Amino acid sequence: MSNFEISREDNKEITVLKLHGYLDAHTAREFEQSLANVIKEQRFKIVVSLENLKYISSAGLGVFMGFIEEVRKKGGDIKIAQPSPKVYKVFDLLGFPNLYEFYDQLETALKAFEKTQQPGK
Amino acid sequence: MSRIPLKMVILLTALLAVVVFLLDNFLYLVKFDLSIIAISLRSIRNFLIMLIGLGWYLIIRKRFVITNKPLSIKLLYLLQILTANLIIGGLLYYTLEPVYEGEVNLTYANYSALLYANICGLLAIASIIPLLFLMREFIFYKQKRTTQLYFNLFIGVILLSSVIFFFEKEPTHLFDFENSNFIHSLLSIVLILLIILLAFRNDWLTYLPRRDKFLYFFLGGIVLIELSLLWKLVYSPHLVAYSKVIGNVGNIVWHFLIIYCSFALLTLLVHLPTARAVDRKLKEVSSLYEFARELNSELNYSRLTQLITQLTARVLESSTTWLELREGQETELKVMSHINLSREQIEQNPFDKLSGFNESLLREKRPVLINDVSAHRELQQVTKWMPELRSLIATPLFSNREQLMGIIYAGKNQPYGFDVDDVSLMEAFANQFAIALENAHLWASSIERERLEQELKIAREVQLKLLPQQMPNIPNFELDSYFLTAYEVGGDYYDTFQFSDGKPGFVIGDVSGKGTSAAFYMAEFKGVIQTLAQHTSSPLKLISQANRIFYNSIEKQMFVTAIVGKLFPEKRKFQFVRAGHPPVVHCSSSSKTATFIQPPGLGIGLDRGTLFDKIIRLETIQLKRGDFLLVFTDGLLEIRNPDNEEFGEERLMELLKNCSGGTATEIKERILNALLDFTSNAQLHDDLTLIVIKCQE
Repeated sequence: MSNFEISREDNKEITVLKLHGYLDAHTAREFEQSLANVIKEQRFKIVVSLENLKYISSAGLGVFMGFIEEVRKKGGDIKIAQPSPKVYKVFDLLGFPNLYEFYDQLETALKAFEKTQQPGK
Repeated sequence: MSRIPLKMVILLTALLAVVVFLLDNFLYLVKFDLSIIAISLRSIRNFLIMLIGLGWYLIIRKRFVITNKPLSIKLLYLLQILTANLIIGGLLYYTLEPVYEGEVNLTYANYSALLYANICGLLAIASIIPLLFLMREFIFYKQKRTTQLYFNLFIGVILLSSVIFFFEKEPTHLFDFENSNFIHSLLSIVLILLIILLAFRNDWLTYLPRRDKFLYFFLGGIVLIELSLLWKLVYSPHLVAYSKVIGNVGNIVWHFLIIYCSFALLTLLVHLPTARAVDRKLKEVSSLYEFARELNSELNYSRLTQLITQLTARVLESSTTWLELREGQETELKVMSHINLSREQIEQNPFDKLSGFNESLLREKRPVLINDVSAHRELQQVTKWMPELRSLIATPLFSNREQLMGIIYAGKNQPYGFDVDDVSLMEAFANQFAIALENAHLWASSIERERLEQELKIAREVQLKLLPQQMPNIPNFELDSYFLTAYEVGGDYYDTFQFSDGKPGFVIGDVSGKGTSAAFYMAEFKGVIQTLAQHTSSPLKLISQANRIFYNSIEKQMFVTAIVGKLFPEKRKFQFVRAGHPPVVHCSSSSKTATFIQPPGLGIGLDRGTLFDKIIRLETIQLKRGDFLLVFTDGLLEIRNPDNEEFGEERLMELLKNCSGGTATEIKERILNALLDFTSNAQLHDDLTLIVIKCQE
């Protein structure tokens, strides 16, 4: 399950991280590192696209939690886009939709940043 | 012969020498002049002299044991014998002034000659035999198949010629070709050949250290001068006058010595220019040998690093030597062992990063030689750091996975202190160093791993003790549980307790992540739940407070999912809250259905409290007789079959529909068997916890 990849696209002030494969306890560190890199560049508007994510474990979920506080404090947000039903179920079970905004389309996630200057929850 | 006591032999030999001397006196005073008596007396006398030789040989063989002595001692003996001959012979010669008569058969012209010849003869006998023993040692230093043969032949021919001389009258020397007959000439040629062959047997010179080569060359010169003086000054006519046989043997041995000595000097002369190189090679070989032995047996990391610097310093003759090692993929290097570095120098070491000069080593992958540090652009700060350092060899050490493990530096205080040989030498050593370091590292980590395994075993035992040792007896209910961790310790957890109103409660939880940190939080979670339960009768309050406590103590990216349940035994009622945990399954025995009950909820530790409290709901289920509940951790749904398919909710639902009937334990066994069937394995390997709560019929 070590086949995990991250691709990054910078769209103006929004950074899109696309996750591929399996996000588990072993690969979570890689995701953590790229999120940390983005934040280090003072980019706080982040969309994580899960279109090609096949599996997420609790350690993978934890990565989101590690950064959200800081990002929101700086006026940004981490939004989650295009999760497969199976992956969404894992988020849902844990109550993540109460903490993060989920979008079926990447575009709507990007637009959500433009619309509101929301401080997050 | 060894049966004859040595003392007797010594006594007899001495006695014989006296007898010969007395005989000489008698012959000198009486002057028989070619009469039969004189001839036979002379024959007896000559025979006695040969006996003296034999006696001395026996004594020497017994007493002069030198085989195990070092070469230098043997050479010293040689020098001592020759010098003693020269001094004694020379002094007596000038004080006694001997004169002889005759051409071939010399006779004493004055009494001084008699005295002198006797002393010389005995001295010669006394010297020749130990000299031959000494020469044998040198020649046999490096034996070849033929060495023994040549030497024995040489001795044999000497003895043969001695026998011939004993009976013949002419000539006086074997090498005197003018007066020689066929047999003499033949013997002479054979002897010359043998001497030359033996003279080539001077391999011992090759292996001498450089300093010794110079010393021996000088000493060899003295020996050669002494030898030539010996013949001219001491022996020439005197030995022959004493005994033709001794004269002949002395003559042969003298030739042998002078030829061997000349050859040896020539060899040394040839070897002197390369002496340093040979010296180095020899040191390399011995270092490598010693090194391989020590390195292979050294598993202590710090002693090994010391060994490496010591060996490098010895082989390169460097004045400053230090070894820097790198930890894993770090870009910093740390001085692990050194020779002649001060504490400040270690602290200010300019070579402590994998950049600049060190980076070039990483590219080169082989030792780099700096002939003049002060002329090197990249090493300006090195000159400031250690002004006396002028030449430097830096050797990178690579592991067998091509990872840079460290660098060994060797410096000298003069420019151009090292040469190309040193570089190739370090290149060869580097591999050995790297292998040894890797071995020591592996050894250390295997010991460390063993220790950790032991620790984990203990942790596992502790964790298992945190789980309830048996399920409580609750009226109208029957409980059973199953617990499995994939690692030594895990984040799964379940527990039973009583709420403040005395009603039985239970909790099942799963700390995110795996292994030791999860296990620690699990232990904390148990304490929190047990404590809170004593002060509340509401699962909702319990979990809400647990969340507030945990949010502050748990790392940001960690969380706990849990279900806290409460049983009402008389009413056969069940209440629970779900904090991000997989749903509770309610299985009805009457309708043969399995229902997943998933009230809204949030994982513990994700939110400070407000949101958590807002989301969480208390769910109540009224149970009927024969119904059962299943609570579990997500390991159950994630069990995979050989086709890598997850067990999943649907399969679980199908399984549970027809699971009711029998005791809680029977139900549990049914579920586990189904899971084992699904995996096609004999055992389950993931974190998995489940609790079956059966409502009695």
